Amino acid sequence: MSHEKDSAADSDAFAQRIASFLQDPVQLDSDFETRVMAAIEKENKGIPLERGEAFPTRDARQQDIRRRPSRNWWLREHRMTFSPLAMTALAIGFAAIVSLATAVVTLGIQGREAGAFPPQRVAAISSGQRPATPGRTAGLRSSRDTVYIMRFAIAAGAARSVSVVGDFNGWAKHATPLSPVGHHGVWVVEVPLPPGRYEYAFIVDGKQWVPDPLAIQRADDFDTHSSVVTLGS
Amino acid sequence: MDRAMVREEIQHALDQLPVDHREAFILKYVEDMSYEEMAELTGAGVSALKMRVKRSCDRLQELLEGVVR
Repeated sequence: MSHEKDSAADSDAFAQRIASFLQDPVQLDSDFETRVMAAIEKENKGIPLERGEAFPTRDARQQDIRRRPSRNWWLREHRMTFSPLAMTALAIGFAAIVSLATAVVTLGIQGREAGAFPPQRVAAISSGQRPATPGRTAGLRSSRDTVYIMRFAIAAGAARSVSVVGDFNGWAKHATPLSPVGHHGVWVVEVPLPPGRYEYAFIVDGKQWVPDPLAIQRADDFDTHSSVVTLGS
Repeated sequence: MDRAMVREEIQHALDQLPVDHREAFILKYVEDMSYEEMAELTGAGVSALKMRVKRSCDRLQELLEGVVR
């Protein structure tokens, strides 16, 4: 530590000695003033100065001050050099950023137009409590990508099991069981379905065919009644 | 060696320093500025200026060995 201090002090003393030489007044030769004035006149486009005239003028000095580079780094001119490889890499990087941004914006617009962000729950229809009619659902805006959450419900208080069959599950008896909700004998299941017209019915206790009493019904060739619901337009 | 010749040797040694090092050395020792004044004038940080001055002194000591005692 002491050695470092001594070294710094020596260095400082050495620098002071050097500075003392540089601070010596400079002896100018006799024609120095003549040469300076000639250089100034040359700079002033050959116009000789009048004796006693201040040069440069105040306006010229102010203009000169305005032309001086600013101390602020951001306002000064800077010279930068790049190798061809660095320039190529910068150009490629810039092009990649622009392409990526364009792609993101384009895909976002297309996705929004195509309904790529479907709502979680577009339609909830309770066939046991609210009739599902074509008129009710036809007004809902839909597209090929829209998925409806169809809620099938029926009041069957004495039932031990309830399932729903329809053309959406191939009329399979055990494919879509309903679950009891609350203490009032209501059985419910929710099924995601794309837009379309569906026929369905409930199977109570595995054997009793029950069409939805609050939905539109149709009879087949054997006079078996099913319910009909239409999702989407 | 008279003072004029020493001065010439010093000037020659200064010319061999990088511009920013030479500037820092002259502002500090010839113009007798503080590091804060130098920072305001040059836009460089105080610690950077101290480092430039230190390196300038080290280099000048090498270059002017036997010239300035």
